[in-house]
Amino acid sequence: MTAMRRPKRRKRGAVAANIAAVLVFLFFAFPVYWMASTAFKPAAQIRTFNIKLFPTALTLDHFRDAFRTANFWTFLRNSLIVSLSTTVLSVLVALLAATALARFRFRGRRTYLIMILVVQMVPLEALVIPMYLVLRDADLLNVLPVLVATYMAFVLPFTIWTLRGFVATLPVDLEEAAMVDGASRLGAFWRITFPLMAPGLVATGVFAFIQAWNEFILALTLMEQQNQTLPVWLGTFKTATGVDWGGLMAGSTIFAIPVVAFFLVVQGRMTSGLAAGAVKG
Amino acid sequence: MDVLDTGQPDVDSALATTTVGAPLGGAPTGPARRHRRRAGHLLPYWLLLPSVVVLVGLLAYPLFSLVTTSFRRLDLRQLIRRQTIWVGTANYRAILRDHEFWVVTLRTIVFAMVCVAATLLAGTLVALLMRRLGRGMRLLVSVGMLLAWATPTVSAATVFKWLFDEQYGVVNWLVTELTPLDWSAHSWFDSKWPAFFVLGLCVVWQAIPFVALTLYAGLTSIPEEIYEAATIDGAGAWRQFWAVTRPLLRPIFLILISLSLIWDLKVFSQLYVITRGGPSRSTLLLNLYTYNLGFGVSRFGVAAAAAVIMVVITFIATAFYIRTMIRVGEEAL
Repeated sequence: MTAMRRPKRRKRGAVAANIAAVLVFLFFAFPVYWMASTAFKPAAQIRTFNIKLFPTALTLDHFRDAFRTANFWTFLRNSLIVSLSTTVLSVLVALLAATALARFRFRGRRTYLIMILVVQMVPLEALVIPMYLVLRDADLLNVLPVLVATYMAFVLPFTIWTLRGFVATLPVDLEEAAMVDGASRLGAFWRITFPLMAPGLVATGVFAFIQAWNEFILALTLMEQQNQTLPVWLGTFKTATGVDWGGLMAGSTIFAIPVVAFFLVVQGRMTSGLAAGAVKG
Repeated sequence: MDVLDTGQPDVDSALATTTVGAPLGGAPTGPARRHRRRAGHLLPYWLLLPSVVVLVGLLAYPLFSLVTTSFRRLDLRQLIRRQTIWVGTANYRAILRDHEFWVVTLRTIVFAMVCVAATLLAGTLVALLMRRLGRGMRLLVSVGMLLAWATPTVSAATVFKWLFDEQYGVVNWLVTELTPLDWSAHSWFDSKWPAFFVLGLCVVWQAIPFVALTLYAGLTSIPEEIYEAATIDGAGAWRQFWAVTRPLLRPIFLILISLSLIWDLKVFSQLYVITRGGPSRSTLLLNLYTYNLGFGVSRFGVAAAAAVIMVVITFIATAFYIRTMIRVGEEAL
């Protein structure tokens, strides 16, 4: 009815909204575009102030250079090992905890939940000092499985919280029906609930992977320079001849691609999971 | 408060049908029942055990160790000789006497508050905008925001450094092309405020999407009729926001504010990549200050004391968050 009363004003408002939408899109997308386009530009088009918003020639040189930097493949391998192990272990441990939280009511449950909320907020940047000192005393610096363990510390609370939400959405009736039909509790869980939970497990796992993949300060302090993960390689990337922006942007792109791809795949589930965590307690 | 339609019945409904210690569902009868009950009594604790082990070993113990370290003198000398020298509160006294510590702490808090305000303001505007858009344009905005959100922090920080590069940065080029100014060699990183601007922009750019999308999800749960009624009553856009949207989304706002505050207080990797505290330590924030004290100049005892103070500051913000969470989702906990 507003539309009928003030058609002109409504229309002008819509046009303004659409223009604003394009500007918002550019604000968010441009840095990402600029990262990718710089990565594919020939060096001559990067080291100039005569900037072209769209590259007129493409090259893979920067990617080749990035692959050839010392230890790149070690860093990539480390990143993959650490992120995948953290994901699998966290999801397993979190699945157990989430089942307990969503399917049982027991003494200490509320305390446990509040603790999970609280520990998510402990700044890892503060814990890096004692972690370094303890691991140094135990001669466990520069050990990948130990890095995985420290990553679980910050991935696990969120994973538990999110999975708990997923488990709680699944109907118990089916499990009960299977148990009436003679299945054991474990069997019922494994055959009925687990398959239903798969999407939730995948979404949570992807989130755990992203967090581990992006982690910076623990790897920086607990691993040695030649044995780093990709984010530290990227964050400390320098060449003898000043900053090689083409190589840096190629590195950033390589590093960002898996995360962006995963993220877009599970986005819907993740926002609702995050929102559920954030709003429903 | 079921403001967001997340399609999740959540635990409160599960709780209603559960009895203490027993699995959900009909209890078997006779001796089997008693046996089941006892096993069921312990089962949740067994399920929680692995997570408790990880969290105690890798969070609680380091936290405890952080506190004890803050009462030790642990410089390079003690570190190499593996000596334990207790110095009481000397580290705290040293840090609290350090003028720079106070400057950095205050700067960290102000920086976080400015970032949170900017994020919330921009996020709200984008969410309100999304509500007015058609499907296609809304998708466009969402895709842009997802790109920014998904970009790894270290990649994002590197890109922002490149965007604002002195010689070949596209921002300087745009300013030179579009305005009468010649910024062909304008440096963003040789003085404090421009450097802070780039840092803050990088933080906010990545923080807005979560806030905007969460608020948008909240907005869609408000029935259109309320706004129609408000329009009939002659309420303008601002009045509608203030009198309808704001009170209805209040819980979401509170949670987003406290979460953003907690996140922005501990900014580290962007700072490490973009300015590393420079020029001349003018953009140093608390986490990097602590990191430098420890890993830069090997004064781990003093660094631990600074880190303890950092934890306390974060916990104050967290307490506010938990209180909000409990108030908002009491039935779920």
